[in-house]
Amino acid sequence: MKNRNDIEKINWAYPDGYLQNFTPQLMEQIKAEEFLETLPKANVYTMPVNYFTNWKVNIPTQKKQSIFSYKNIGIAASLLLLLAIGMQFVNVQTKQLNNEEITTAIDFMPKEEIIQYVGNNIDEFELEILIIDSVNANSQLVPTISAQEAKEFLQTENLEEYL
Amino acid sequence: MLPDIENKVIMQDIDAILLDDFANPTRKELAFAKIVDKYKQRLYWHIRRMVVSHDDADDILQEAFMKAWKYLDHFRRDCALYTWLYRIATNCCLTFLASKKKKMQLLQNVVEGYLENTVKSSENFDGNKLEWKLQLAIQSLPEKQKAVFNLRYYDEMPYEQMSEVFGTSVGALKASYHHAAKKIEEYILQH
Repeated sequence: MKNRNDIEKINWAYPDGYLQNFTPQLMEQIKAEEFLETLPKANVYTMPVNYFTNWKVNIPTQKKQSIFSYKNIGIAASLLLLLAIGMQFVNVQTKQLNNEEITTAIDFMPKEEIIQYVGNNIDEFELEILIIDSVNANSQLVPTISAQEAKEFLQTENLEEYL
Repeated sequence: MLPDIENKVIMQDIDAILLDDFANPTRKELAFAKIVDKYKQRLYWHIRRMVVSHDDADDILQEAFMKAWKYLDHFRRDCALYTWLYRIATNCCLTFLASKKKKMQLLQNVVEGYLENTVKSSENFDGNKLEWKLQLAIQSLPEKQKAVFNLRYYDEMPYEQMSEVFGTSVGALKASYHHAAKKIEEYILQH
């Protein structure tokens, strides 16, 4: 077992010159801060008279949710998938609807625009919020995924294939 | 309980009520208006000391509160509300100054002196007065160091709260402040 003398012999590493420079650096800091205290703290800038009297934040008005929102695209794509699965049970004699005839919100927009909108128009923080909102609204339709996973999913090739 | 601590607790209770109201769709706008009224002056002066120009400060103040409106629903209450607001405002200032610097490099090849010139063109500027020399000295600091200095010197914000604003350790902030103080002293003594 180490005794007190052995413990005191342990040499802890510290930067070269640290102790030699410590006192002069400390004295400089003290001098600078005491100098600051001699300076007037008066506010030299002026604000226009009554500036804050009518000042307001221009909060954006609540927009109607666009039919091209990520949420609606997800719902529309899921419906498309369900319909496609449902087609398996349709009598082969009846007219088969092709994908183009199935009216969804997506069909109003060119694919490139959807990809650009979803992929580029929102940052990761907003994307995370959209995912959280989607999960809260449609927990059966949208799985819980992270913002990073969503971003990867929304890479052009994946989205094209999904749509 | 000491008066200062008691006031702080009361202020934080009020903030908690405002945040709860903000989460209620029927009270959201009113709650936000109250938050704006409560903090607009403090944030304005913090921003103004960073960017000097009133018009720029006005734009940044709007931008900071717009961001607060947008992201307040997701504020995790892991720090005081005003600390969170200061963080937004400081980041808006730093982004603005970086963008200004970049534009000036592109247009005029001039990097230094924009803020110094803005100070000198301020109303009532008097280069012989110490308080104006102090402003010129502050504007010569690097942006982040200037923000640290202003928050400590003018707003007297504790280092622990500044650490939440900047995401930097208390030790690093103290070092930054000390260096700023030394640079200011040298500037004033030389000019």
